[in-house]
Amino acid sequence: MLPVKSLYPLDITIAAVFLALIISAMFFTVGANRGTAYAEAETAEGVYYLPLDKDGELTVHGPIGETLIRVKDGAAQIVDSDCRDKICVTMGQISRPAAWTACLPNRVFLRITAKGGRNSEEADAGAY
Amino acid sequence: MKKRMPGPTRGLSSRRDTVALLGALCLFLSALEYLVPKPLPFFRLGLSNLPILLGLPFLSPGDLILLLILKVLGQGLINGTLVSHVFLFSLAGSSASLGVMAFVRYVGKDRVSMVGVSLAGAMASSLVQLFLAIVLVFGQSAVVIAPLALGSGWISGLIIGIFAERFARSSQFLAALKSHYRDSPP
Repeated sequence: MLPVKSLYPLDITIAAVFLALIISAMFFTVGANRGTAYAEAETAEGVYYLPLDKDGELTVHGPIGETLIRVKDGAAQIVDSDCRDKICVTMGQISRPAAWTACLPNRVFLRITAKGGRNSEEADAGAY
Repeated sequence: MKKRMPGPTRGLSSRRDTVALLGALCLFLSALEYLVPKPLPFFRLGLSNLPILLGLPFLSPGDLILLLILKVLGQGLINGTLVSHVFLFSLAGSSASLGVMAFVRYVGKDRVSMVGVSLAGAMASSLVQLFLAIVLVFGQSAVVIAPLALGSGWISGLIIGIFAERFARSSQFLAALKSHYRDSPP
């Protein structure tokens, strides 16, 4: 290892600024999560908010086909998607705030938010 | 007639040869990094940034840009991302990184080590790539990956910086390369 005394004040400053940026990013992403937990699905069709305390399923359409999202027992999961690798399916359930999973080929980004997002419309609940 | 430096710089004649050698090193290090499995797409050590970091103190701006292009092309070739949007990310990240590193070096002069330069470069690269991810691919939700992406950038920037600083201090190869570069025609 490099001895600390061979570092200059500027080195420490840069490291500290970078670290402060990381910590504020953490607060920014986690701090935005209070209240009822929702699974927020960002899709090519728009954004859906699925309350985690209500079991249900939602099929969304993307550029390569359909993606099936299921909410069960307070956790959300991509159950099936018309993609090649099925990485989204193997990523399994997400339930903690700021946890996420995604089907990149079908442009579906699923994450847990707490407030129900910026403009949670009732239409989302009707999607069930 | 200039005295030819024996050893590592044998066979190098012009300044461009030094750039080519460093570029080849980038290619090799990309291949080396490819061997290491990545648990997440943005967990990269960034080994191929090493030649740029080492060349920063003595290469001319034009040669640095040339080295940057060689590095990005080599990386794309090894990772198979040359003709994809990942290449755009790589190019943007590397360019921002080089710009910021050169700036820090210019401002800091002898009061900044490779560690600070490397961390600043890693920060620039992570931020630009994060920005592109938000703007081009995922939209706002990509913000959730920010702590992880930046955090891994901090760690890899620190590791590469420490290694570069140690290497720059003790390597005879680098010293020979440096003096050869200074003595040879542009």
